[in-house]
Amino acid sequence: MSVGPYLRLTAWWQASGWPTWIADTIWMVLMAAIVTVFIMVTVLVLVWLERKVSGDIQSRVGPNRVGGRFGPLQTAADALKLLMKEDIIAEGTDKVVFILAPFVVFVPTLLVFMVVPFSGTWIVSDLNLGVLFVVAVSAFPVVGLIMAGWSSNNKYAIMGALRAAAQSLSYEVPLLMAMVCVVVAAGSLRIGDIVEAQRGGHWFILRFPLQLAFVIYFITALAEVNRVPFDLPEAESELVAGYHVEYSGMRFAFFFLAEFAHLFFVSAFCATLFFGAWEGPWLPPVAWFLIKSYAIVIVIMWVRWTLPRLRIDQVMSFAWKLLVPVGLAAVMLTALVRMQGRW
Amino acid sequence: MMLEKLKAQFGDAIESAEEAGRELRVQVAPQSLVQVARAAKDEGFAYLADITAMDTNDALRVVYRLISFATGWHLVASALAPRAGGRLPSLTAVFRGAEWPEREVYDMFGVRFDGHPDMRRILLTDDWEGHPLLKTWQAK
Amino acid sequence: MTQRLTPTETMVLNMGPQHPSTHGVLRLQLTLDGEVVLDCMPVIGYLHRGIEKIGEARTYPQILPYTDRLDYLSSASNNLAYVQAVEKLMGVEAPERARYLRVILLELNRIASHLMFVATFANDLAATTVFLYGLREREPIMDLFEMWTGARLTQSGLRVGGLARDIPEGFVDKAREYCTFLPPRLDEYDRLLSGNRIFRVRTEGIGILPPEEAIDYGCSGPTLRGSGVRYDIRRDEPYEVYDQLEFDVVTTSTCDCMGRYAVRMQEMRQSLRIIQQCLDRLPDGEVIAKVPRTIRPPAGEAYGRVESPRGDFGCWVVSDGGPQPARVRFRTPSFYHVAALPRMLRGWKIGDVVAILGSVDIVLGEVDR
Repeated sequence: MSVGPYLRLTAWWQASGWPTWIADTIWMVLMAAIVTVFIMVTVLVLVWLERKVSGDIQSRVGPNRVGGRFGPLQTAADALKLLMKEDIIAEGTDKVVFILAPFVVFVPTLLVFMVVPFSGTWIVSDLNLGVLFVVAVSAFPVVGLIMAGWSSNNKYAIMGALRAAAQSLSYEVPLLMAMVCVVVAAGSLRIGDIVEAQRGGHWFILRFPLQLAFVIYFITALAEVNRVPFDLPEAESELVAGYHVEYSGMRFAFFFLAEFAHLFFVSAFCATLFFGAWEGPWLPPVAWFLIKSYAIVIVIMWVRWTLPRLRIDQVMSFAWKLLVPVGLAAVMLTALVRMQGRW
Repeated sequence: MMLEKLKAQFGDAIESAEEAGRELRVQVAPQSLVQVARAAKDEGFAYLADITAMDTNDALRVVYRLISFATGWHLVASALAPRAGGRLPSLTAVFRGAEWPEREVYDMFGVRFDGHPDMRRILLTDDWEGHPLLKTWQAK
Repeated sequence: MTQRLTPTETMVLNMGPQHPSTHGVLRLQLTLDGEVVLDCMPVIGYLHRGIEKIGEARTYPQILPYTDRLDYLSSASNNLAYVQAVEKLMGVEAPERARYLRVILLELNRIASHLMFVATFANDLAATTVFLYGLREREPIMDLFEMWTGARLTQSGLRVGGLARDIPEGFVDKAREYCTFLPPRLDEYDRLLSGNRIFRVRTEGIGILPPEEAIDYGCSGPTLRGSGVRYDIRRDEPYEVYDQLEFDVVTTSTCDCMGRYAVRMQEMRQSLRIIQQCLDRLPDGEVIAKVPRTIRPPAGEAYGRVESPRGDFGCWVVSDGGPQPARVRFRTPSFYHVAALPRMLRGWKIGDVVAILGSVDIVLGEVDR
């Protein structure tokens, strides 16, 4: 991580004669704590933002009481309420799987923030296989969804889980292709290199044919996060609450948190891949990173409150019959352009 | 003119017939209901508006209302059934829309319809006792 | 068809009675093969209040508020069917001013009901924003109702012989204002929905109901006109002053959800046309005819029939000469539409169930009575 502070800390540590593994452990715990706190705060902000944005689009106000005129503490109040709710585990559920499922969904969405570049030096771990890591870890929550749906002993939950599995699987492929385009353009899987390749204002979004990759990424990201028009696994008006219908209180809160954390992640990653991550004039890099991420989040919310929802077979046919061929074409095109050294 | 046709075709089965406003009111013998309905449907009365019943204190009068879109006339056919254990032939073979109103007449009045694919209560719970729209029904 | 290599079981799924999209307490027992609906059995009666039985123990004026609560989204049409039947029995005719005002009330109810339809239909398909827009556009109509009758939804604005009250000052101007306020918004929502690829893909070709079957099932209103049958009681069996008004009977021949939706969108525009004509021609005079204090219609029977926003709403009243009717029967369109649901749902997927049910626009109040 931030090489500077880390080196200084280890230097100081060694100077005082303590073994380095303690320093490393303390460092890891500290980083985990910071990232987790950041995600929690972000989720609180995002939920509030969603309610305000939707209110604005629907010509109403949104939260306006808790914590002042703009209701900033509304989410905190809701989280508190969820904590205090009775933890109901329905009869007939597979208890172990039921209890584990929220964690299987939540933990990967936290884990994947390891490779998010908040600024030049602020990245928890700039893995050599950054993009591969992201793809692998962010595919994991689906297993948790299926666990939740299956263990709930509820037909609606199972249908939601099956839809989630089908949808996630189908959209992984074009998502991968969009990311491969960026990797080809940057020449490396490492996030740091991808950001480096965009330095000086040559953001990937401005380079043909990566606009195509951006569009594909945006659509598949919506599908990965289960947002309208791809929110079938939790299609409120059809399946009541889909895969998490039997969850209440804090367990439900976990799913909710995971969804919004994942939402922030895909927006942040989009900003990283296509918009130069933390690059920007005179504001500190972190500020630019957050601005870009939040801008994409707002666009995603805008889409949610405007469009209707697709039916599951339409979702699948859209993925396989349209996005996959287009994705393949995008990869080939990017490779061609790169080979010709156009950039 | 329609009344003449019906009377000619069915004779005794049409127990009475009169015109009132744009309604043709006939009383039909229960056993001829299906044939009369079919004949009416062929004559243009293809829309079954309603099947309902009424407790006239002497008997149950089951009323069928057919409407002809082309002419705007209503054919209101009545058939009598006893207040307990009444049975009438079902019109489900002639009109698909007869299925549910006949269930409701059974539910509320106790008249069974022979030939009905699904003769059971529709509005009240399956274990309800009694038929509420009868004049003799007492609420508990 | 692909051959089944592994045996699968069919699943019975209950939609309702508590469900966000069944528009009330309706239970649909769906037999599913994966996502495909093999069969559907609607179970009704959760909202049965015994209104027909209650009617036999109430005087004629007392029954009127009960009729409001049948199709509660459009109470004036329920009122009118009942009042028409009683007026026929009594041989009473409402004065001309009352008849024009009745048409205005009816058409405003139609617009309010159709706006609610668009709102809930869009909401079922996850276009949540249109839900709020639709309800917002309904508010001025609710204000008009409140101004006139005192109630927003279940107005009971009619009486045997005419109306409960005359319109207050400023009503005509407010109504005219609404008639110019709504059309551009309708265009906007139409574009937002029917111009949207996703909405079209969810509604076009879905839930086909062929016209002959629609008639055979007793379907009426936009459900019937969406299947191409040009039948509208206002045109074919006119009542009040509809025979003197100019309006189009809207039909589409697609027989699908989109067709039924499009019919209702257009009907709102026709309703505005009707309202404007009535406002222009509104005569002066009384709003209620001379009707005795206690209403005792002579023995006999009569049938009142009205084109409600949902279809053919009929009321059969049998009088035995006393102050209370011997029988009151309400023939409600949604009852027959729910009966036709299995036919419309068979073979489609779960996602389509919601779209088809929404497009038929039922109200459980009138299904169960």
